[in-house]
Parts: sequence; structure tokens; C-alpha cells
Amino acid sequence: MTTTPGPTRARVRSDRPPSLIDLSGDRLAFESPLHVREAAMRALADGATHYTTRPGLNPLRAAIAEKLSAENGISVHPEREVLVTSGAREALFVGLHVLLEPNDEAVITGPAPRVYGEITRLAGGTARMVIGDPATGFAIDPELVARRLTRRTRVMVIGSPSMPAGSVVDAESVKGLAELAVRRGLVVLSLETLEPFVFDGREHLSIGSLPGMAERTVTINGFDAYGLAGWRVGYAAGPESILGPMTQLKQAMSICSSAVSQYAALAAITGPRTPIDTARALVNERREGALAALAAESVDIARPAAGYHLLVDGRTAGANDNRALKQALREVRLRLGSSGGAPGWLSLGLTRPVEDLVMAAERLARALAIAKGGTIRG
Amino acid sequence: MAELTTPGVGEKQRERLKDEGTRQRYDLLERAESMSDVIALGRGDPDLPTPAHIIEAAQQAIAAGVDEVSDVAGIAELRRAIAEKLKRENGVAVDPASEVVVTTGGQEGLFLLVQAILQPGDEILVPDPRYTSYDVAIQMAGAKMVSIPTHERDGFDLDPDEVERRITPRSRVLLLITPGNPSAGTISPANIRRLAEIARKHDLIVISDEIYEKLLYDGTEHLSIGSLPGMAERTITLNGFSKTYCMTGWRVGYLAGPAAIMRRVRKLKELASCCAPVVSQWAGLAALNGPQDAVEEYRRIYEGRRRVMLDGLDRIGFTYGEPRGAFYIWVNASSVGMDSIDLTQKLLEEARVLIFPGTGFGDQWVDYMRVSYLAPEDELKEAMARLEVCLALDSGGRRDT
Repeated sequence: MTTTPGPTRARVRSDRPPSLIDLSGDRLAFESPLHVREAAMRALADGATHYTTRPGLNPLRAAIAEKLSAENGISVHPEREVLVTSGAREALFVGLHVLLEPNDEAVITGPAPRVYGEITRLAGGTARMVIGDPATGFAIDPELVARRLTRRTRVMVIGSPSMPAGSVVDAESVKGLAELAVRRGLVVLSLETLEPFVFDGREHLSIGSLPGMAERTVTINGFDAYGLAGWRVGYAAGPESILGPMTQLKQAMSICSSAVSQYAALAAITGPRTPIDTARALVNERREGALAALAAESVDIARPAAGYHLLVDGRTAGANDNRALKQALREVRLRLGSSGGAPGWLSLGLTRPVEDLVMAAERLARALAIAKGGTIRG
Repeated sequence: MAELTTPGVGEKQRERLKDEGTRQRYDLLERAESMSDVIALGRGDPDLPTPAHIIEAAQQAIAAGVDEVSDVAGIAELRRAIAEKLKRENGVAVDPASEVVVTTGGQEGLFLLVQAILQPGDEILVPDPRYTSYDVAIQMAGAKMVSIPTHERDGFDLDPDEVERRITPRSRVLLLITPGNPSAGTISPANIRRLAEIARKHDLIVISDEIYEKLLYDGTEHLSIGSLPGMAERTITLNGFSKTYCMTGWRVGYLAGPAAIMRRVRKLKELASCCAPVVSQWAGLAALNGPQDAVEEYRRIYEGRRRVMLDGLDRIGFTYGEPRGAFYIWVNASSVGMDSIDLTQKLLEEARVLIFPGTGFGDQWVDYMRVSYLAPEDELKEAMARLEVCLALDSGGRRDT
């Protein structure tokens, strides 16, 4: 019997310490739950191999609308105001391309993944990043945002919980941002994919649920927390005046989202919450382990309130250019914060088990000491 | 716009998103969905199943795990299989690592490619009639579409002289779709060779959409322009799995071409949607590397259906360009004397047959309609009988005289 080529799970762990601990990744891979996989396999057996309706399967859109209503206080019409996309990324891409005309500006709360700025520029717009104060964990202050608005600002992109700083916009600031959006006639693209991973007793508040915001907010979310990152399914929900054109562009880009992936998402969103709780527990465990180890090694970080990334302070490693530090980090791979608007900081993803994170903290402390000691020149 | 106080989508963007053809097609589709007893000869979505071995391979992949994203350009195994396929079947040589990007369907491939290579004001030469969903990609890039007419008398083959006549200093890209949608015409190998010459002479990039390449009839031959001398450096071959393997719902296709362009495409793919659905990528791999019996089996099924349709159309007295490929017939319904929208609406309401209007594929095609034959033969026979009755009643037997 021949074996069909397929994905293999490289989960074999060796006893030797890894020579390189790579914590530079964007994503934490959660496994797709069994019932989701079974539902997808069944859907295939039942012939889910055709295009679906363009904005997505009706039951999926209904479930999304229900979730937004029950968990986020956002009320949308499932058929006219929900669009299923090929991941949250496509929703952001389509949203920015529909809203921005050449020379328009998007104000982006940051630090943020570099792709937000890149998509904005691709759409012909200018990206203005607003970086929160590191001393407050990069918390976003509406006052700072207000100062970056110009006559050309059309869109406010808010990722909360944010990546990689792991900040959460608190309720008061969400209200402040909402007022600003109303006053200045802005559309808000609210990226909420990290919503399940809020810690320290903090709470996530969806800006689209605030008064006056339904008509100007597109809420973007997905199913990565269910372990569905590879299935590429996410969604955008908001007013028909924006979702209509977004649906047009989505159709022009990719007709509809993968049918089998949509069935997987449907099983996830209508199934038990256990996968989310499990993912959350996993992140929490790694987070606690990493925070304790980093504290024990006296590594300076901006304490994250959410997500599965955190920013390590490498600012003293040399003139705000942490290339020197990165060189010192031959044994731990981190991502430079500068790509997301936080020069001098290093993004560390909780993408490995706790024991690796502990080892990474030790190596990090050593590397920082070398870099700050000036033996490495950038 | 400073004066904008209510949020929304600006006029300029609305203009760029405009796609009258797609709107017309989907309006009709949605109307049909609310009706019962409709025979659907509209959307290009094969009714036949994805071959069983592909489904099984996908199920195995799901069991093993498809939960993590892949490289943005696609899993290495699939890119290798695509490069091998292109070499083996099309004579197109590409490096799997740097010259192949797996996309979320062929349509995303076209969209990304157009954004990657066209600057505002650049011109792209597009055969007419056309699949208007591509219009939005062109409009979003700020580029200008230059239509190349094709004609029923030529079976909607593309006349290289018609192309050359429309080349200007701003011409940058020539889009070829063979077999064509909606025309079902093919570009003859001789014309492909001449088009290649023109592309070289005028330094054009060629996008060669070959998504229907396996669906050919009456001994028609397919020649991939990317295989011709001097063309590898300027050709991007677009293909996918939707039409060959009945995999529309999986959303997986690919682009293959020069590394310099594909680097940019890869970047855009990351911004647009990260990677294609991983489960669909494994299914695509099974499609390319598995048995190909279903491809020919399906083609024969389409061939039989095509015969049924052509007989029916002949009986009614409709003409058409010789449909040498795909699973459409681009029907000239001028004998009825109705605008294509009115006619297809009438056929839907009165005969309960869904057919797309010609104007869904370009404004001036008021006399035409696109019939797809993606239903079993007995349904197709029934559809043609309904059409005959509906049109005969209407003309009061005029055709009998």
C-alpha cells in the first residue's frame, strides 16, 4: 500500500537543548479540534466541493451574527452585514482597499503587525502609526490618536488586543476612540482576533458595540483561536454601506471562501467552547512561565495584558537600533519591533513550550548583558 | 475627503469596484435561487463531484492536521508538483521555489498578478467578450483595459492583427484566456505563435489563463504560450484545479512565471490572505499526482452534453461560435430580437432555465447569452425543450414559416 503524501506532525522532542529557539513567529499553532475535523470530513463526503454563496454559508453567517450579538454586543444582519473571508487578513485587505482612496490616510494603533501598514500603502493610502507609551504597556491614548489625524484621515485601524505588545484598549479609551471616530467621520476597522486571550483581569470591549459606532465600525475576527489558522477563514461584520462594497471586492478577489473551511468554521463556532478554553489555558501557562522566567532573569519587558506575544526592551542596546542585540541573540530568534512601529524593542512570541521559554529567558538575559555592555557594535 | 462626515465608501472606490457584468449575473442567480424547478445553466460551477481519491486525500490530510498556515507561496510539495506538471504537460519550465505561487483560486491569482505588474495608466489588452470579474482587478490597479474584439465567424479565436493594431506606448500586458470564458473559443496554436511574436516585439507581459485547458473538443489543441522561445521571461501561466478536477469550492489555483514578478506576487499574497487553505493545497497535490482518469472521463461527459446542447440550439435556430473548449456555449440569440437581459429574465421566469445574459460579459453583447452545460443530459434535454416551447409560443410559430 502506498502512503498518500500529507502533512506530518513533527512533534518529536529531543533531549538536547535546541540550538536555536525560534520565537519570531506570528502565530501560535493550536490544533483543530476533533469535532471540527470530523465535521469537515463529513462535509467533503457530502459534497461540499462547490462554490458557496459569495458572502459565505448562510448558517455560518447566522452563527457569526449570533456570536457578535451574544459576546460583543454588536448587532448585525447576518445576510447583509456579515462577510466570510479567507482569513481575517483578507477582511483587513478588502476593508482598507474599499475605504481608502489614493492619498487618504489610515491611523493605526501600534505597535502593530507590519502588514497593516503595508496593506494601507498598497491601497494607495498613508499609514500613520500611533504608538502607545511603553511605560503603560503600550496602552493606546485617544489623545495621541487625535493628534495624528489630518484632513485626509478616513480610517482608524485598531487591533485590540494588540500584537505584538499585547495591550488592550481599556473601556474608557475605547469610548474616547469612538467619540473621536464620530467627531471626525472615521470608519473603524476593529481587529479582534486575539479576543480570547485577555489576562490580568482586563476586559475586551468591542468598539462596534458603542453608541453611534454600528454605522462606522467593521469588526474583523476569525477562527485561529479554534486552531483553524491553516483553514483560512475569517469574517468582517459591519454596516451594509461598507460591507456591500467589501463583498464586491471579495468576490472579485476570490469569489467565495473555501467551502470545506467554512464548514469547519461552522462546526467550531456552533460547537463547544472547550477548544478556546484549552487554547487560553495553554497561552496562560506559557505566559506565566515566560513572565516569571524573564522577571527572574531581570529582562526588561513591557508587561502584556493579552495575546501571545510580548515586547522585550532592547533600547539600551545601542542607539535604538537593536540589530546589535539581534546579533547577540544567536540562540534565540526574536523579531525586531521596528517593523511594527516599536524600534528598540524585540517581539517574543509564546510559540514554544514553557521549558523552551525559560531557556530563552536565560539566553536573552545573557545576550542583553553583552549587547548593553557594548561589546557588540551595530 | 475632509467634508465627509458620514462614513462610507467614496465615489472613486465605488467606481473602481463597478462590475456591471458580475452584478447582472448574480442578480439573475439570486432570483433563480428563490425559485423552484429551475434548471441552472448559469454559473461555471461543475455539477460533477471532485474525484473520490482527492476527497480521500483531503480527509487524510485533515486527520493528520491542516491547522497551521503554510508558506505564503504554498506547501513545497504542491509547488514542486505544479512545476513538474507544467514541464510535463505544457512545456513550461519554472523553478518551484521562486517561480510558483499557490493562490486562493485562479481568480485571486489574476487579482494579485494585475496589482503586481500594472501601474496606474498602464494598458492591458483583454479579448472581448470577457469574464468581467477581472475588470475589478484592473480598475483597482488604476490600469486601463483595452478590448480586443473577437468574432463568431472565427469561433472567437483571437486575431493577432487585432491585438497589434491596439498596441500603444502604454501597453504593458496581454491577457489570454484559452479556452475562453464565456466564448468557449480557443486560440489556435498558429495564433498563439504570432501573439508570442507580438509580445516579444512590443515587450509585453503575457498573462496566460489556462484554467480550462483540459476541456477541449473535436481534436482541438492547446498550446501554452509560456513554452515558446523567449516567452518564459515574460509569461505568467495561470491555472488551477476548479475546472479540471471539479474543485471550485476548494479555492486553490496557481501562478507560475519569472521570479522577479513572482516575488512581488508572493508579497501581495501575504498581504491579501496569507496562504491558500492548507486542506485545499493537499487536495490539489492529490489531484496533480494522483490518477488522471477522471479528467478524461469528465471531458467525455461534457462532450456528450455539448452535443445535446448544440442539437437543441440548432433546432431553435440559434447560432454560436464553434465551442472548442470549456463547458460553455456563447449563443447568438439575435433571432429572438430581445435584449439579452430581457431574454434571459424571460427564460428564467417562463421556462425556468437559468442562462447568463451576454451583457454579463461586456456591454455590447446584447444579442448573446452564455449557456453552461453543467447538468445531467436529461436535464439539458429538458432545458432545451423548455426553451423551444417558450420561444415558439413567443414568436407565434414564426420560425415555422
